[in-house]
Amino acid sequence: MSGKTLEELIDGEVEGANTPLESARLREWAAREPAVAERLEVHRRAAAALAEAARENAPAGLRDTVLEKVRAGGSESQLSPASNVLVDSTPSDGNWAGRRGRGGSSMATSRKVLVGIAAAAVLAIGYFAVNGFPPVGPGAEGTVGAAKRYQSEQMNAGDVTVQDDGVQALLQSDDFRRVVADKETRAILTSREFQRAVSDASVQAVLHQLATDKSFADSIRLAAADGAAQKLFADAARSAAAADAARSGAADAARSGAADAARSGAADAARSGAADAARSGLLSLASHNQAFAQLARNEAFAKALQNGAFASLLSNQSFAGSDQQPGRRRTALERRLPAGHRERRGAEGRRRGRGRSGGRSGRPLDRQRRA
Amino acid sequence: MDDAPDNALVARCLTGDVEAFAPLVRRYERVLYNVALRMLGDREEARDVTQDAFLKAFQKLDTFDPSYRFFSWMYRIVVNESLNARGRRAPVAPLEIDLPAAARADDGLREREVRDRVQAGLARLARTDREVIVLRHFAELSYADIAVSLGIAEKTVKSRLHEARQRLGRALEQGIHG
Repeated sequence: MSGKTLEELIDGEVEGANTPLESARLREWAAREPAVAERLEVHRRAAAALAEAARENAPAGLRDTVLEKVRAGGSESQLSPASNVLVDSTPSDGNWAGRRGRGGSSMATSRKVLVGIAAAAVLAIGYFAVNGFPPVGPGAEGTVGAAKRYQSEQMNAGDVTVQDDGVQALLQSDDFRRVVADKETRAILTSREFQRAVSDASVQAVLHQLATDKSFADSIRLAAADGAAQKLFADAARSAAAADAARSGAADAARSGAADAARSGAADAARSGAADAARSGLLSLASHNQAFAQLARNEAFAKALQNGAFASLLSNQSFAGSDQQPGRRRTALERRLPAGHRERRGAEGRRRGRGRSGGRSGRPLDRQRRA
Repeated sequence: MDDAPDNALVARCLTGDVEAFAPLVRRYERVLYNVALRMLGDREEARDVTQDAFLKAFQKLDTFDPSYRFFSWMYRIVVNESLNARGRRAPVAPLEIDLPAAARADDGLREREVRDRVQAGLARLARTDREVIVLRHFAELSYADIAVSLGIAEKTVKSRLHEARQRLGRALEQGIHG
């Protein structure tokens, strides 16, 4: 028996959504109680009239007039004289943005936008995830350790919440507004390649790691401040042969070269190594992620990466998140990652933690976390 | 291009491809015109409002949040413009019903009568009631889409629609017997 209320049964009846059983139940109810029968009749009358009042076609010429004006530039002066749409475009009961800001959909939207924009950062992530951040300036030693520490961290159950906490601050930042206002970035966000990339579980997992690791944010901030690194990422993105090269095994060679260069400590050499590393990171990601490979070949994507606002956004503290809660379980996203992927990343992070700085103290990273 | 998703067309418009706006107009002119018509009850005004809403949308495309449906955004513009248009009328003027006079010659008598009765009934409803009915029965949106369009919970949409239909049914009853 259906657990629907009388209202739901009536609505279902007039909209044709009730099951035969539900219709029978409503008829029974109406037969028992005249008030219910009368109410049902009122609704039927309304629904029938609405259904009968056929929709009218738009007036002939409306479309042509609109398109003509749009082609002519769609200026304000072309609006009908009485219209004040440009003065007041907001709903009478609250503005459009305010409406979004009040309801429960605000956070969902914010997260969608945030994750969407973050997905464009997979170029940088590909590099950091595989190679660590190259020393490009003063204090670089700590940065290298921090970047590698990210690689060995486990995701926590509250990470998504952490991201939400920063969303409001992010949305209010100039960086965010600049990015959202950027036409090319918007084109990326709505591109099919982009949508495919963000829906990929492994990409999402990497994004979440990025968004919840403060040390990684520090690294990103450095990268964003370094024009050379930005250009390298963009150049790498433009490389149409990236995926092929990755499959051929060139990625390993590039990674190895980058590691050597980074260890040399010389900024120029490190930048050169960063080029290889960025490329190899990309290649590595592209080699097992078709969606990303397609995205990386997107010209608009490469352009957006060179956008100053975009780079600045990546360095935004709110974007990166800062809180960490040790000892939490893996997120659903993490659990969706192939086991080999997780283990490989974990092992690589531990190895690097020992072989290189492993953070400022030099202790194994998991111990640092517990401490 | 006509089959492209709304947001893809919007993105193309933003890159300067004006022609990408044409499918959006074709796609929504009828439903948005009907929304305006049911809100205003005046064909001329509804046409102006729909036309202006499209132009305004085009001019303001860069403010459109692609995480929302394009239609929802357009709908809000049309509703707002309709309300503005009503606000420009004489104070406390009742919603004018010019449908019989403007009805096309090929309209059937019964169809016109029904349309007039419904329009008169809608005119008696509060704006919030009229909105949900228009969106459900004339724009044929799902509960979820109505919720997004109006910025309210889906549960609220259902209860509001139930009450609105009941009021409309009673208004129609009074129209018949009154």
